[in-house]
Amino acid sequence: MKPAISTLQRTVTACLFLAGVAALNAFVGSETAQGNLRRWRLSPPHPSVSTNVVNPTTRAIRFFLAADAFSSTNRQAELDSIRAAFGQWQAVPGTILKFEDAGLATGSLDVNLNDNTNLIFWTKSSTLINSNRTDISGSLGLCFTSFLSDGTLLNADIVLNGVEFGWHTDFFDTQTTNAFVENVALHEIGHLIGLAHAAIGTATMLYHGDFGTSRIPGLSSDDISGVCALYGTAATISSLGHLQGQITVNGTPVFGAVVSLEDDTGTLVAATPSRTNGLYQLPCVPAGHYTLRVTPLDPAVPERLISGPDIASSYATAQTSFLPNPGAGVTLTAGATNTLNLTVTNTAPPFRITWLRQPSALRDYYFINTTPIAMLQGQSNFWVGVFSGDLPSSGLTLQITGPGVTILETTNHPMNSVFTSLAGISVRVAVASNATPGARSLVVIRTSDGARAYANGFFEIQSTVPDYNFDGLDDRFQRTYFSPFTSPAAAPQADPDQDGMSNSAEYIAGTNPTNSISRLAIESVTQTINGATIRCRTVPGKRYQLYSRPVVASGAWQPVGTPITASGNVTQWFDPAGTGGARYYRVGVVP
Amino acid sequence: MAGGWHLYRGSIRLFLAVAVFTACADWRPLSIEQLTARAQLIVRGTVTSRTCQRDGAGQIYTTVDFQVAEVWKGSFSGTNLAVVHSGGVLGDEQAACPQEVDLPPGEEAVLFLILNPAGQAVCVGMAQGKFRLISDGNGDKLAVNPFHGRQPLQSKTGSIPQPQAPLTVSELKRRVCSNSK
Repeated sequence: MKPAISTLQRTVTACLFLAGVAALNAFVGSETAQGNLRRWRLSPPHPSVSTNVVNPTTRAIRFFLAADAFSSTNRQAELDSIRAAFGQWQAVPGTILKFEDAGLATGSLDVNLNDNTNLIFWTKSSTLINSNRTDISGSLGLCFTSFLSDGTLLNADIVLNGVEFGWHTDFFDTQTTNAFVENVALHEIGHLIGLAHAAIGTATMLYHGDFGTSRIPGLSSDDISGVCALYGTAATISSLGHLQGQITVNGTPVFGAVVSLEDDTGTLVAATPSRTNGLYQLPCVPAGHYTLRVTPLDPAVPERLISGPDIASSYATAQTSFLPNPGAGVTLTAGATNTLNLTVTNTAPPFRITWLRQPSALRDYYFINTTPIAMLQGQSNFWVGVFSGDLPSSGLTLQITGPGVTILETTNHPMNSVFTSLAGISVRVAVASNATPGARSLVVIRTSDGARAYANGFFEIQSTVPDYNFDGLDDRFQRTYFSPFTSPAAAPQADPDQDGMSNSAEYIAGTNPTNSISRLAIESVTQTINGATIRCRTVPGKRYQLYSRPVVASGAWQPVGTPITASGNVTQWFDPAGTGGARYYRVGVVP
Repeated sequence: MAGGWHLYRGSIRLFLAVAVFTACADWRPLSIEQLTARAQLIVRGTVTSRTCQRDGAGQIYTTVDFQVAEVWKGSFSGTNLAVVHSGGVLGDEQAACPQEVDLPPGEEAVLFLILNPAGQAVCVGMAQGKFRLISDGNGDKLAVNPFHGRQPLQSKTGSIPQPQAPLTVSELKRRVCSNSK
């Protein structure tokens, strides 16, 4: 009898809880059936969580990596790619989020949320995993979590699909269509820490991305907002602004309206869908002035950018038939929570954006898909655009939010003129070299009546110096010399080759930070009656300036001659003033 | 000039032949044909109940009781089919995966299934393997799966496929049966 009662109780419990509720916060947080955000309790660790999962001393989330990785030939790089993904989440400033590489796991590995071990592994022989209860066909990666009803995460496993897909680790390889380990791991680790799929284009937590190495490689402001909300220190949270409110139509709450917060540079800082009661929260964004915009998700039809089910199954019934509200201004102050309610009009949008034309220098080359458009600071004369099946054939303008992007030329694409059953509009753009990096939005406006459609955060301006681990050093330099590029040895002030030059200094000098022979150093000074000859190790292509002064500890360093662009590994200067007495020299790298 | 214009238009046609659907960072959804090929059993029916429990290792999983009305592929002689999937809720503890299939009691659906070594049915590709059936308001039923039509597409002709009409259950059955012979 007892087991029968137990089964009945379990069935009832499941029926009550599996109905689920929609997420509430900015970014989109994964919630428990009771509506609590899922997160790791780190300070202090939750007593129900194994010390093998969260280290009670370091307060770090521990993870094990499968020793065999994906391949035998690239094993170390594959493991380091996963470590780099953990490193990027951990690098978000102002949080207590910390990970600990607990070691390598061997043997027959499978998902097990009751083994008190967080595991990341590739399945390589079968897509049927998780004690043969889950078939992962068609999925690159999946994250399984267990948690308590208060949201406390207990255990998590990530599986990567090595049966159906090839994998690569070279960030600089733009040709391969194999899955990039770091991208997929970054996304799945987002789930591991409690995030659901995002509502804006350039987020790591967007439900889809590129083949091969992503053009949107790191965390977005929306992802960062999520980490800060879940794991921010008290000081961080009190230094940020917080916004909440309700979206209604004719006095009735709107479910699944995307509420986007755009700063004065046009950057989409965070977005979230409203929940069933129309309420939304946008916590943990930098203080400042913003525009709050409300837009509908796309219906779950094949041609779409983001629909409710793309965020979570609980958003399958999101309301999509209302006009966008272009927004209201709001100023957020540090440590305070503002409330801003907005209304929308209960009319189906006359048109939407469902395809994005990727940048092309050629007016007549069209490449469209549903991934965000990415352009670098300073790029100009590239065509970008939008298409859909219901855009008018004429009478449209296309804008990109915020300053720093100049529309040089506009071309309308009437229905069927470029793609079957699609109309569109393209613009030739110039991105200023000082344009603020971040997620912008594309806006189509019908000139006759001002009707609008948005692609929220689907245009990203990228810095010419990528820094997705937030340490001030160019990621490309770190990726070239360090694996993972987020390791302590890659830090700006580290000097792993112990040649006296920090990584930052080696980056500026163009030298190899892992080779002590490769450093900026004066090799010799030869003095004759005609002057002094100074020889210095140099990097071809770099510009150098020689300085001198007569006293070692004081006096201004005076340039000797003009800067020289090195053509070889050694560059030589002649100083006619260095004929007698003491004279001191130094060489600097100049822009 | 007119000839030049036409030549120019011709060159446009050459350049625009690259509409590509880009698939997911964590999904590369299966087409109906791929689902059909992978499935050992394809059935239409209704969820009658679901039960969360723990296995011998203490893991939470869910067993769904699915009342079979039609078998579209494979063989199944009974009425009630046991479908298992990961996750669920037991007391204060829950387990979940974002892409897991959700089969609430009362839901009518077409399921694309494989059989695990224990003989239990498992949805192909998790949520991809379920097409929920809803009324179209005109006496027919639509088969709804948010990933239907999101399979990678690449055209050699220069245009993406026409927007797809809503998928009726009869059309889904036709495509399944024509690919499962």
